[in-house]
Amino acid sequence: MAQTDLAVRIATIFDEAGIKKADKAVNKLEKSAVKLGKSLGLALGTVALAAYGKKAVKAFTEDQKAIIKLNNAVKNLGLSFSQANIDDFISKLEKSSAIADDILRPAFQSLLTTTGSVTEAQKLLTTAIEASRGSGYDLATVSADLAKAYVGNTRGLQKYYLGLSKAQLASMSFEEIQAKINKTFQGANKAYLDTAAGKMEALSLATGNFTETVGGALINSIITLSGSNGIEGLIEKIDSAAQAMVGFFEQTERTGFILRYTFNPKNIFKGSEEFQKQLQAFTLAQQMRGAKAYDPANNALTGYKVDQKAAADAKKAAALQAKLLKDSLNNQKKLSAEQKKQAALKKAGTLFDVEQAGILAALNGKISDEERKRLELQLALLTGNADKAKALTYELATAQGLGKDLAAYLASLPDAKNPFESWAAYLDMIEQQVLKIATQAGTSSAKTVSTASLPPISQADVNRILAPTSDRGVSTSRDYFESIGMKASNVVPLPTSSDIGRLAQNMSSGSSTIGDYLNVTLQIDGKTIASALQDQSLSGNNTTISRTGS
Amino acid sequence: MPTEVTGALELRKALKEYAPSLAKESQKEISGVLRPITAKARGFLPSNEEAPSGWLKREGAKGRWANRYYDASIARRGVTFSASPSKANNKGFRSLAAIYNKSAAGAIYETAGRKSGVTGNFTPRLGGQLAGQGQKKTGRGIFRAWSEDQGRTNAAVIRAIEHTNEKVAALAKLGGGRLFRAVKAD
Repeated sequence: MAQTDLAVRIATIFDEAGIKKADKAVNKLEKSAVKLGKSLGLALGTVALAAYGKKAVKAFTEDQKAIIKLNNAVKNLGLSFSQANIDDFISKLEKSSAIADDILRPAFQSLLTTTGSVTEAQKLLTTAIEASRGSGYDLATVSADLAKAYVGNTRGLQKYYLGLSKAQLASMSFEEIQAKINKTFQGANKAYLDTAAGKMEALSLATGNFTETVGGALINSIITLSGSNGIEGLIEKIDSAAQAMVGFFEQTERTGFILRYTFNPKNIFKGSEEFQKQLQAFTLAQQMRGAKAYDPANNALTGYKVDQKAAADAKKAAALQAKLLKDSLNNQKKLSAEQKKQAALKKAGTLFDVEQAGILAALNGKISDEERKRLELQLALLTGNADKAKALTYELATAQGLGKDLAAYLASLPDAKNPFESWAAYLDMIEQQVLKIATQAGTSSAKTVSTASLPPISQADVNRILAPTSDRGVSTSRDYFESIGMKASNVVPLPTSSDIGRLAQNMSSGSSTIGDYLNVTLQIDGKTIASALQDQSLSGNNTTISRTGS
Repeated sequence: MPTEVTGALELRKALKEYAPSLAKESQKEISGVLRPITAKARGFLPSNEEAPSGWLKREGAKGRWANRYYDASIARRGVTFSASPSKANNKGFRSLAAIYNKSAAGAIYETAGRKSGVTGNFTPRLGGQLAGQGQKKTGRGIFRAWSEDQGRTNAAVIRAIEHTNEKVAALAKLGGGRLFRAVKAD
């Protein structure tokens, strides 16, 4: 049965035992946590302190390295007397620019070695700092670029967008370039230091300096504690300590041997002589430990043959290398001499070259520019002056040959085919058709239909003709033809009854045909026929074209 | 208003350790007090005929509703009492005796409608009468019985405990501490 907690509780009491127990547990936990916190804090604090100490010593050594490198460079440049001045400058610059001295020193060193002047290097370093802050490039890069520009290589300055072209940079003096850089990036460092990032960097620098100072102090304290005179003394003491440790371990090992020997029941009756012998052997083994093992092929008895062979091989190899070097130098010398000889011979040969002499004579004469160029080209080809020959060839070709050839080529080009050529005949045909249709429509050429060839009129025809005009709704032949869709130009009266009677009589007697009495003139409306023909020839949907606007 | 009895727990503990027979006697006396009210509470629960037909057990019912039904016998069996002290709740209070409505269906019948009112399709069909003080102590079964009891059972329980206390005191006076010579109970 699922249990519910629905209940009527009777006679409730407050049991503080549970609460006290819980309180006790909580207090215990709290105390434990505090204790743990303290322990952890101590442990972590010790670890952190040790790590910081390590970092401090590292920072100090790095800084020392940079100082030593710069001092050495200053000394090599013969500027030792400026050492104090340089240190002071770097120190002040570090504070004013918030750039660490271990960054400033290499930058200053590169500028100093390039310029050879402390004053100039100081000026350039100040410029480099401004340019670095303004452009975002690191100080080492900017210093290197300035150092290169100082000796005429201005290519690196292009990336600072000074508003100068490559040619301008190349043509300007370094002083002008420096002035331009100063003008472009003036106040960049101060502006940067006013920003939060700049302030953070300054703070970071101060912390770094503190670390370096602590590192220095740590090293000094270690030296002092060891009672040494400087780092060299400390190193000596460390070496001595190491040796002492080795001695201690060896002595311990020896003591162990003595104890083992003494407490070994087998050795009780062996006497002191045997003990001394064993101890001596053990000591000897200790001393000989790590010594070169005996090599049957390479020992004093064999005269160290392997070593001697190796030394002999090395000597032989060195001699061979020296010989090869000497041969190479000799070959180079021989080659140079041969080249010189060939050049001299060639020069001498030109003096007796008839063809060349002819050309030179011709050149002295009165000739046109074109001829001169031709001769000069021939001469250049003869003397092997490839550059000149190439230039002259180009000039000649440009001046004459190429222009003429091009003109000739263009002149010889066939007429371009007219893509609409075939259209002319087609359009002519259309024009003819249109004219024909227009003529037919406009002139309404009358055509006379001969009735001579018509068949004889029958009684039915007569009856049809004689039918009352009122039934057809026409009174004239014109009306009649119009009623059947044809146009008649002349109004011809319909034959009367007597005409018809006479006609019938004559026809029956065979003396006359209907053509004798009836001449029908048909007037054809060419436009209507053309329209009808067009309608027949067309297919597809109608297109409505509307004109918009005026 | 719950009645607080100070020292009762210690008395009971002492009885269990040094006079187990008296402890049992005390428990029996309390049980005797609680039994009538429990029976009365059981009587308030409806029979299967009185309960809503849709809430009863259906043959062949499957899934989650297969076991969610009202059965008068189960519900009545779930209404019980306890004469021994409960464990302390999260505020540290313990009850020396209690009347329970343990079954799920009985609890539903007990509490349905006491928060949102007797409305809808189910609660009005339950019948019975919600009685008691406050929302948490109102119901159709045990709370109704407790409410109608008017505190008599509560008083009887306390009297039973006092009676035990008096017995202990009398025995102690009579026997000169003989009572506490008893061996510690297992």
